[in-house]
Amino acid sequence: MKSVVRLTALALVTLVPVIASAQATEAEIATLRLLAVPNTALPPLSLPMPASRNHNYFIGRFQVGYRKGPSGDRMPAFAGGVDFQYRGGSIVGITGGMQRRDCGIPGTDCGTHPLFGVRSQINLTTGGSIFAGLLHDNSATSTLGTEFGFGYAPRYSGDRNACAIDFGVPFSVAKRRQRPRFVGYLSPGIIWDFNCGSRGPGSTKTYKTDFGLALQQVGNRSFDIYFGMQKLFRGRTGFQTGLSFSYVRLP
Amino acid sequence: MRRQLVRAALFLLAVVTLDACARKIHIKDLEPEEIETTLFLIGDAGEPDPRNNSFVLDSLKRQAAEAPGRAVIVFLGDNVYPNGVPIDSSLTWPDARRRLEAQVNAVPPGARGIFIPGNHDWQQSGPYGLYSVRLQERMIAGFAAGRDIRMLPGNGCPGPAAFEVGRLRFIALDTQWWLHDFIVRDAQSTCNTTVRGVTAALRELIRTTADGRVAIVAGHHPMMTGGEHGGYCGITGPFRRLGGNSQDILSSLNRTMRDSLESAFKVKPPLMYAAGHDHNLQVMKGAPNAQYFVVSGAGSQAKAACAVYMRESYYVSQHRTGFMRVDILRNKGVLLSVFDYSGAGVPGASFSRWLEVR
Repeated sequence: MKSVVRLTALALVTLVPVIASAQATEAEIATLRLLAVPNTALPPLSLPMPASRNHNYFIGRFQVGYRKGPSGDRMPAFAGGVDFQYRGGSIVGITGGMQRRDCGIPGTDCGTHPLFGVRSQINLTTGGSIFAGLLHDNSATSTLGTEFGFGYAPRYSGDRNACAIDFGVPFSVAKRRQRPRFVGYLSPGIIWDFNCGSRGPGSTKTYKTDFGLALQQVGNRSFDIYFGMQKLFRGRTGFQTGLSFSYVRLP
Repeated sequence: MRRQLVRAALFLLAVVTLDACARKIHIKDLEPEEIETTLFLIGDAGEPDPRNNSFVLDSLKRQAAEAPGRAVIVFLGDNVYPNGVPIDSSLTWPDARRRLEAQVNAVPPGARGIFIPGNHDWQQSGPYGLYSVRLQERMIAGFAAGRDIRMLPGNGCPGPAAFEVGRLRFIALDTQWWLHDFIVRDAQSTCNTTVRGVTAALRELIRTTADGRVAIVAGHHPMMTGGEHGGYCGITGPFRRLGGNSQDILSSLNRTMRDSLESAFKVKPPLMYAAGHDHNLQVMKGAPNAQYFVVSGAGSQAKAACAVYMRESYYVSQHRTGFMRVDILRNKGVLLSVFDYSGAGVPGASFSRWLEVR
């Protein structure tokens, strides 16, 4: 009996490290959780183009994002969404889409997982006086605001669910006297990711910077194209890049 | 990382290329004999520099003097800053006179001049407003000395007051009448003084505009604006709605006024609704209730202010003075041109657009 116990103990001592090496580490799982939510999987957008305060507007949106996972594997994502722009300024919107999982980490699933999000961008001040002079364009418009996002990605790895909340301070500058308008945007911020009704590593906080360029009113008054990038200040997260297309329903 | 940077560079290159290929602003020229009527729109000109001649008013006068017989100059309100015309025993009366005289003098002999009242002309929305507007009307008549220069609508009435020149049907409104918190009628008022009556009269004027005619409605307050009164510009912008200032687009009283006017416009959307109030130059899509909304409130250098390019905007000019010119052609065609001036007074047409294609 003693020999059986000794053999079992020996087997455990030798095999457990092997089994462990075939599993994702806590850090990798935490990174996967961070990258699974729409806050990081989809490209950032600028603050919405100002519109007349006379109306509210609905905006349809399609986004394609790309980034590499912690293993170096590709994690493309796509999503659609609808935003509501209140009185030509602030917006609140919902998003739903899919993302390809990082297959390169041992012990994690391949395939895709869904992602869902809610985002609000609050337009604090829109003017243009300073940038009109700097850009030599007296139609230049700058906007400063705040943004809040919530993201949810069920089953991003096995039965784990990811959630994240982010906060940013977006700033954008648009120029050009006629359509299409050129926009540059930047949004430093912070994101907290945590488990949503499932096991997993403890919550983490990551700083981020969203930035990009956009063409507003391409072809017609309603259609905008955004090229957005995101840098997360955390190891093995790389850059996120992507394109977004939006269409505003005008009265 | 490098690949992503290359992608970003390619996108930027595409943007720059698109810019180069994109439409440039072409200022359209017209032969003088094609033009039937020229309407000049200038607003908020009631703060001329007391030391120098206003180059905006000078330029406007020169353009109007080329063919004064067909020129109509419309001052879109706030003709006397800051509190309109006071009683003649007031210490500020001589300065009010100076401000108004500078504008009346910008109407060349033979041209028609129209002064629409604004909130500052109503004693800056004060209790003496109705009487201040009437004093201004009398002062204008005194300066005019028999020429066709007058306040429209007159006698502190809300309007609509209309006249026709060639294909143009011009309809003037006193929008401050809608927003004023004090007396807006008295025993001398011999006009429609109920909201329902005014709206019905406006609706009827617009409805009966014959096909082929060009209906242009003007008032001091804009129906849409990307300026300060539209809740833009400055940190107070989005919070102005909390103030409930009736001079702002976001206030409920202002909205009631706009709803009433738009309900009248619906029967046959006019070509343009022209306003001042915000101190900039804006051309906007006005659909569905008017084809175009314009703001031409940049008549005073000291007042020129910020404007935001909105999704509805065709053109925006901020921090510059200027005016707009609408050329109505004999058979078909209406051309809008915007003239703005840098701080040094360098003139130029900066935008033009066919509002009705010829």
